[in-house]
Amino acid sequence: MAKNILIVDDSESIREVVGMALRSEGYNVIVGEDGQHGYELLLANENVNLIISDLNMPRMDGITFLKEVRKLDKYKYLPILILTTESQEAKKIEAKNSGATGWIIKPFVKEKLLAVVKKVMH
Amino acid sequence: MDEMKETYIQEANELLENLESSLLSLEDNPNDKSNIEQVFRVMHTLKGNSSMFGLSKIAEFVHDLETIYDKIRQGEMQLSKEILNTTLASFDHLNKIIYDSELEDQSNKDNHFKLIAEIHVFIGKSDSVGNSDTSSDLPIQVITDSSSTDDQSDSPKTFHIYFEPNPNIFLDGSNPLYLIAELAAMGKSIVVPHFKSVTNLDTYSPTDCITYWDVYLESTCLKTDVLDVFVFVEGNSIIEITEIPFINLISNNAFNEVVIASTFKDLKTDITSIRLLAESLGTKVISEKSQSKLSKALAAEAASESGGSSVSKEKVVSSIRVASDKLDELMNLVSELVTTQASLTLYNEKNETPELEVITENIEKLSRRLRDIAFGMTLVPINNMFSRFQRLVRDMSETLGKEIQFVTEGGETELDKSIIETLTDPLMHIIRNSLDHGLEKAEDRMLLDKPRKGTVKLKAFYSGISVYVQIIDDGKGIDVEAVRAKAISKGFINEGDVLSDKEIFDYIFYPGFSTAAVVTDISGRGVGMDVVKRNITDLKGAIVVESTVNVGTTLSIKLPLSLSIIDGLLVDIEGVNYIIPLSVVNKCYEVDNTEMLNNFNKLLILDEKQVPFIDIRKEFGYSKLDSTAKSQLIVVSDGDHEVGITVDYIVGEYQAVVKPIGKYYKNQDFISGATILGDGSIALVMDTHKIVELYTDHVKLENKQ
Amino acid sequence: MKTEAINENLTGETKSFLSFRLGEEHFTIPVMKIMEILEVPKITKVPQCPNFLVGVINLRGAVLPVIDTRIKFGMHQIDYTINTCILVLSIDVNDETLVVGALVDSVSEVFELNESKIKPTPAIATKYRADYIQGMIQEDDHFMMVLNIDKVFSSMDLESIVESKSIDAEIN
Repeated sequence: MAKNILIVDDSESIREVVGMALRSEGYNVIVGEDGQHGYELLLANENVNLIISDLNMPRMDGITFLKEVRKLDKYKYLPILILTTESQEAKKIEAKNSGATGWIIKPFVKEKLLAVVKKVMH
Repeated sequence: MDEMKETYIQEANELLENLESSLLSLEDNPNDKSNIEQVFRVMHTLKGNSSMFGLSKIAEFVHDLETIYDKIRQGEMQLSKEILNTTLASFDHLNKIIYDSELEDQSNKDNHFKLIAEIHVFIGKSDSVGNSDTSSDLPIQVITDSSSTDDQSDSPKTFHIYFEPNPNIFLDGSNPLYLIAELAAMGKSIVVPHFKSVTNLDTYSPTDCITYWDVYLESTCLKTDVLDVFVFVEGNSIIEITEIPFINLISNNAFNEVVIASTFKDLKTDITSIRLLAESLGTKVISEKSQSKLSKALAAEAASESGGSSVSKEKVVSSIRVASDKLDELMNLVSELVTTQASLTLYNEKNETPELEVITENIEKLSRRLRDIAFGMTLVPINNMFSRFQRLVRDMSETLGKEIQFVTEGGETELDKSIIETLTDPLMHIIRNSLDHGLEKAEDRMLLDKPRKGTVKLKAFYSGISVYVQIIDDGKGIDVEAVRAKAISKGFINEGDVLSDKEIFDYIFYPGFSTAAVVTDISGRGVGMDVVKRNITDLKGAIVVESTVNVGTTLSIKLPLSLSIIDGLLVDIEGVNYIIPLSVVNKCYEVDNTEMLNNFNKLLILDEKQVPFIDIRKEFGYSKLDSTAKSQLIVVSDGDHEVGITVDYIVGEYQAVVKPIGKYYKNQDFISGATILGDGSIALVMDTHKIVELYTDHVKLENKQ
Repeated sequence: MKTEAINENLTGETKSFLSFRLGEEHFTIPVMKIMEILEVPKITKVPQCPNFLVGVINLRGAVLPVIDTRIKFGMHQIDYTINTCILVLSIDVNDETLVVGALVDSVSEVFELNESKIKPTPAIATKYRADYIQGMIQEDDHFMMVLNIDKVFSSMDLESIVESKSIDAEIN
């Protein structure tokens, strides 16, 4: 059965680029426009297998989103990747400590994205 | 992809609209935090989008612009009019180049680099002028296929990987089994799982990971590739990778025996036996990432056996960010080490034994090197900042229609990075003022018999444990009487007050001093100078103005060197130990006291040069020089000049850990600190520049009387 | 000074005080303010200072300014004897804590005292400036002044803290 991936990013362009890459590999893609929206979608959808989320977003930022998701019993162990342009250690570590499984540094090529997705979700 | 590009442009337009409205409200409320956040966020998204679409020129541009607002929101920078202007210009520019992402239009291209240069001045990035077309240091890396040229890349090797995940590893969605599978996919492998023993069921949680692994991997990939597998978990797991190059151990029967004997039987891998095996097979083991004693010892051995040469395979110098409190702690410990080492040196001198002497010397050398490295970590040459102004001066002189020569001196002087960062804005302000109001136009200069070209000089030098940064121009100068009149009219001083020129010029830094009238009267240096002064005071520095009408103006900024350890010359004056920083000492002479006592113009001829000297005993209120004895004269540099300072005798060189002497001595600023000597007594650190000032004030006073 | 009788009806808090001698006079300060008491080590004089700033000493690696308390109180400078010692005091000045060494002739004793026993200083009873004296303690027929050391040692001005008028009065 196809895996469901939730993409949370306030940039439509990013959502499209990431979504297109994932769809081409046969994943189902759900998109949220910010942390709040993503969280609502998560509650409404039955089976999300992976979340890919931006950090800088209006309404609910990525770190808060991470923390909120980890509070849900159902998604305690769900792999979550964050998207960041900041390759700085600090941001990555903050995200990691807030419950992120890993990260993808923008910009990335499709192959890199898929490799990271495969790394955390089989 | 064209449809995608349309999405990009559409979204970029929305973002820019958003940016414009935020910028306009920032103009009215420059301190509105939420607006700054908003500006930053919009830029950040635009940057992300642009780079995703491979529009690297736009992405780089926005990256730099965003950096300004990142600094502002972090409180490292203040939003200024200049920044807003540049941002608005950048906004206009972005509106154009989202349709011309390759800068094919020449005017877009020109504008692009002009704005980048402006932005770089704000964010303190040095610009390779004229060379700006080649974007060699892309702030955003384009990820390329990492086809390594390493000659090791396709040679066979065997890795031993020890992986002990943090018990909490599942809690962020990580699955260690995926990592093991990823490793296994890299070559031929033997995977041996182990379980930690659970001793107490009460503390044991079923969601803890109690499994750990030994993996043997035979692969042609690099050690870094192996390490990459663990990129998301290396922060909280124990990962040790031992590389045994040029050999396929897994295919070797003897190896299998060892693995079975150790790994499976004892539930503990005996790497030593594997290393011995590998060695017997004619190779050496390299281990780098080592956390257990075993593999550490192994690494050390491997390194020493191979003369260290094999360890230097990874030559890439990468940089890491270190928390500043860790650095502070390091500095403190190094300071203490240096003090302790001084005690050791002293002890050694008293109890001379040859063995101890060798050890002491070695420790001295090591601690000196350690000190230099530790303190060097936070220091950067001031040149980094100077070069930023070069561009500013060039651009401004064009705008102003003035002929200006920009000279820098002492760029190698080093200052703490954070000081340099804070200093940029005030210096920029001062230089702008100098160019705008200080220097005259060429034709006006000709009338005054001055060279056509005005000069602005930026100069830095050490004095004591301070650094001076001076901005010197040969422009109009400031009329001290105009400033005085202004200060009177503002009610800062009274008509009859007797003030030195220096004191009067100090009013330039008073808030509210500058008005339109003053701008013309005193070449407008009052503009925002209170902010400049505050910035410098915040750095524990001081700023002083000297100026002569039609000759020019010098602004001197004194800053503390962050270095709290200095190399000094330890001297004795009237039984008191003083340290003169070696950085200012030029030469030492022995002089008969009579020669100085009977010297009315206080000048000595030394090496055929006239050198003024200061009788420090007199300045410090000690007893007179003994006319039957000799003194040591320490010739120090003070800015451009040389001055001799008399001391009784020189004790030697000393690495001084400079400590503050506290608020009680705030009036004794010619002593910049104190240091504790090896015997526990205290030596006072001289600020030679202040001593010269003390002396000149003193002489002036004498002359008046 | 002996510990106060316990059954007395006291309203204030009971605190420890240390008394010391300057010349012929006895003073006392709360023990809380004293970090330690040192023998006099080698003092390094800083040149061109008002004479109450005796110099600096090494206090386990830190540089500690030392003040001649006698000069601060308008007496002639201290004579060093075997009893001379340095009280290391922590002073609160404008939300900042300074550490300073105070040279005194000798330390007398530590005692407990209920704060309500500290009496306001009658204006004529002291030649020292009122804001430096927190109050007085009477024992039999002699008095001891309780110092407000935050005030005494935070004044970095060059004058001593004796009111010039009262000096005249005394000299006359």
